[in-house]
This record gives sequence, structure tokens and C-alpha cells, in this order.
Amino acid sequence: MRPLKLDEAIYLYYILSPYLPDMDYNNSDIDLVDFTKLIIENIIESGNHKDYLLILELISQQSQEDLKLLEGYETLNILMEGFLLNNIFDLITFCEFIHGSTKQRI
Amino acid sequence: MRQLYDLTRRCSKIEISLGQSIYQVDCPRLKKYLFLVETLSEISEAGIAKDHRKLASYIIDYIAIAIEEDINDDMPWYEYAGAYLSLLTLCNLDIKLPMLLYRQDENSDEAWDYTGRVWYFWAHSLASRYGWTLEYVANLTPEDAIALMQEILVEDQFSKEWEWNLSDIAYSSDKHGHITHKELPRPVWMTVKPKHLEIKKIKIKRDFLPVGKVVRWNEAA
Repeated sequence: MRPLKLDEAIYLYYILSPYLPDMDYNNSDIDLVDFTKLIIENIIESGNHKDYLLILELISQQSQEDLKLLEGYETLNILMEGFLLNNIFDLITFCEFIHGSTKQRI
Repeated sequence: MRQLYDLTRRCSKIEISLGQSIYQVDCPRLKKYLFLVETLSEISEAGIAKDHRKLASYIIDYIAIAIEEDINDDMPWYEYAGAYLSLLTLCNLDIKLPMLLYRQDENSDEAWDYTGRVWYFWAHSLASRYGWTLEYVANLTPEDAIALMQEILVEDQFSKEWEWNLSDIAYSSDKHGHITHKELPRPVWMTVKPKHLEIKKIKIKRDFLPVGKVVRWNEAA
């Protein structure tokens, strides 16, 4: 696993954005586990399971076929490791700023 | 004594790191400033279109223009993000003109429009008016160039108004033969007073008004 390039990172934000919990991403106290849990819950609730695979594919650079062979806890590990490696909260803050979101925090 | 406009006060040298390299970036002169602003507009359009490839490419372009060096796109995203956010201040201007405050949405769909035209438009306008070389125009500070551009546009507008008033089109008559004069419309920024000079009228409840004789500021003297 490697940190994402800029276009990949922005693409990750686009896929994640419908599932982002309403949080203050500038707050260093956000718990990555809670965040990941909420993202997964939101994806399950939406029924767009394809997006979960897309996120994993993007983060891990593995094919969706390979990812489907993994156990649930393994994909969860990939997801959390990817979020950590890519400073996911900074990425969200940056992309929100770029998109002139009302939640500009930078 | 009134302080003269200080050309160096807009931004100081910015130091950014990108990967293993450190760059010192000076305040941009006009040509570079216009390319940066044009790229910012492309970033904004790509953001609205949610085109991640174009968005990333324009952000990298912005950094490359600012540091005046070609850069690869294979570094981690946060390298570019940090550099981009630091370099955004390069487009801040230390001047507030009506022309900038009350801009109308410009239609950029003309057939003769192309990427990079902004610079040539400014270069043409300033060089043709003042007889300066392209190099001289490129090295103007953005503040000077924008203030001069506003003067050019004001002068052009007055010249158009003069011609308009001399033509038949400026006058119309009704069925009784009364002649009325139609003024040539001015751009919004020439008709709106700068906000900081305007004193807003606010309604205040009678209960909150002062009791006794009120001396207004303009009557006090």
C-alpha cells in the first residue's frame, strides 16, 4: 500500500463524500475507528456496496476480484490502514476547502 | 505625510517544500499572476464538474506556475495540498477597486477564447494604451496593472458615452414629440458605490432611540 496520488485522493473523497459523517474534521480528537464504522454503516444503509469495493480498490491498488476473496476483518484492516496512510481527515478538510464548502476549515 | 503605495507589502517571500525540495517563491508579477488566477478559475471549474483528474492536474499546474518549474504528479497527495494552500496567498491583492468588487459574470464562451488568453488580453490592453513592451507589462505588479486597467475601462466608457450622446440612438421621442434622453448603460462597478463608503440606513425601534434633544452629527457644527 502506498499513499495516494493527488487525483486518486480527490477521487477517494468523491466516492466517500456521500457517506461522510457530520464531524469537525479539524478536531484531532476524532477517532479513526468510530469514523470508519460510521462510513461503513452509511454505505450499508445506502445499499451501494459497490462503493465499498471501489474505496478498497483505490486504497489498496488491488483488483476487486482479489478483494472479494478477503475476509471481512481483512478488508476492514485495509480500509483503516488506507485512511491512516492518507491522513484521511486532512484529505477531507482539503477537498472541502477546494470545493468551497460552507464548512471551510482551513 | 501620506504613505506611498508600497509595492512589496502584498506578500513576502513564501517558502514551500515539495517532496525533498524547498522552493522560495516571490510575489508574482503581472504575467505570472494572471496565469495563476486563470489556473485558479480552472481549478474552480474542475471542482464544480467534480472531475478529479482535471482538478489534480490544475492544482499541480498552479504549483508549477508558482515555483516556475515542471513537477511530477507521482508524489503523495498531501505534498501538493500543503504547497498549494501555502501558494494560494500569491493571488491575494493588496488593493480593492470597484472593478474587482462588483464584477459581472463574464461570458467566456466566445469563439475566440482560449486557455491563456487572459494574459494576452491584459498585455494587449496595457501595451497598446501605454506603448509598453510585453516584458515591461509582464513585470508590472498586479495592483498597478489592475488600477491602470480600471482607468482604461473608465476612459473607454466615457468615450463611448460621448459618441452615444452624439448619435440619434440616444434620443427617442414619444407620440407628443417629447424627446427623452437614454443613457448608455454603465458596467455595474461604475454604478455601485464602494461598500466601505456607504452608510447603511438601519431602522431602529422607537424604544431604543435616545431620550431628549437629539443632536445629529451633521448638525452639531
